[in-house]
Amino acid sequence: MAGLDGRTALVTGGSRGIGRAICVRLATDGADVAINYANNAEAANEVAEEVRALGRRAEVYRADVADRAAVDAMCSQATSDLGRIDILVNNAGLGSAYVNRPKITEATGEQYQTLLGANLWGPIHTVQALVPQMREADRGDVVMISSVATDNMAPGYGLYALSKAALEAMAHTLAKEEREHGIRVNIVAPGLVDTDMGKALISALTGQDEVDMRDRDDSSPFGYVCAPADIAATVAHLVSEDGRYITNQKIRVNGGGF
Amino acid sequence: MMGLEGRTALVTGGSRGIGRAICLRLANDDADVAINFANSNDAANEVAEEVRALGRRAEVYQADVADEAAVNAMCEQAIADFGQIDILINNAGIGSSGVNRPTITGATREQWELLIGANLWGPINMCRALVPHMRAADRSDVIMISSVASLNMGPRMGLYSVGKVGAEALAHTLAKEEREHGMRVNIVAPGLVDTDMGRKLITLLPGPDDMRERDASSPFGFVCTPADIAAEVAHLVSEDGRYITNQRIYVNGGGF
Repeated sequence: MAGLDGRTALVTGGSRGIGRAICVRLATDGADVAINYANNAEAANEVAEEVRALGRRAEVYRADVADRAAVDAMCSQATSDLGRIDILVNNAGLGSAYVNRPKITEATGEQYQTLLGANLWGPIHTVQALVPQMREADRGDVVMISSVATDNMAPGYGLYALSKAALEAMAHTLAKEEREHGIRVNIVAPGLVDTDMGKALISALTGQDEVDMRDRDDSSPFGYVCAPADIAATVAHLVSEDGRYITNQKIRVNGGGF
Repeated sequence: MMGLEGRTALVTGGSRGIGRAICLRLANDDADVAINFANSNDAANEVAEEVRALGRRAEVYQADVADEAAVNAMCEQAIADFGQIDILINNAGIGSSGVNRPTITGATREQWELLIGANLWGPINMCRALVPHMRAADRSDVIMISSVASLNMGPRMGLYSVGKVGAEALAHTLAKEEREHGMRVNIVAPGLVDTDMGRKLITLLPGPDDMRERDASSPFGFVCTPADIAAEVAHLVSEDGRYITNQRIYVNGGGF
């Protein structure tokens, strides 16, 4: 049913939040995991320990996904360490709150570059580095973590929305280009999730410095803010035997939205 | 993870094809199953035996889902037999190939009523009969089995597309109306699947009439199996799928 024995995943932004939950879930389902992180080495190593405690191999790799050379080096090293990567999860990203939610007309070139770098160029780099080899596997999977921001296109979220919308366009095209090679490409789009990024978003919206997500539970779908494990569960489903006939799809995991 | 222990599903059109696969998968994941069928009594009882062999309860119920009175009687009986039903799978349907694929203008009134009856009135009747009852559960799920036909709107598929699009609108609206009651409502939309309906369809289309001859030209080298659709249904109604509602998921290998 899940059975990812013999498969190897690379997860970008795997040290925290959704990325961490994905690493742990894929390992639970039997995959070895290459854990990419940008800054938080200690957190990344903790995730690696959790993966190993589940009986799977884990290695950590520092790379800013916006940096082409760093991604190429990371993918080369990860393949050398763990073998061919046949599951790529493009999860690393930066939210609008990271650049203080500027308007389209007011954002600086640098702010555009920062969000595009993480959210669009990062996945372009990992896809270019890993997909050609993935074709050799009987089955490969690429999952993009997007966002409901591309449905909402809300004021102040333009830089995030446009970078994620472009990422989705890449995913859909890639799905068609690579299907003949047995590669499934799908998008998982969360809404608000209980992570550092989610807290930063709420902080920006409410002006609170300290955010307690539990205060938001009652007003959330089904009485709770989405957990990182909920996103990881759909990623795991897509890359599993159960998900073998699903490609080119975008699945929103957001409790139906607000 | 999957853990449907303590949950009970009612699956319409559960005697064959996708419906049968859903019954077996949900039972495999520990749900009890109420199996609706229209005509195939023997087949429905075979599915029930398979469910029982997996250690779960199963009962069969004859009802044409287009018949409101029959649906109400069935649901009343199923609730009496099982107690709380908390998963409804609207799977029963009739394809355009069932009426030899007429055009919009060429179809008879009778052909229209047959397809709208099964594909739209069926889900309407089932939801009206069961959704209020299902609200009592902490968590409940409704799945609509739709089709890529609702995207493609192909010539000579109109009687089918119209019913399926209607059922999708029902699902999306229901998702919003019932969310406060802890009900998840989602749509699973297959393309061509290796079932009686699929086998009939391909005889009316250009290309091979034998499913196996279609494998090589299908996504990933095989025609979608009923189990692939059942797997998506199982995911949605499981703990893993608890935060997914109001979604429409195509299980079609990315289409053609």
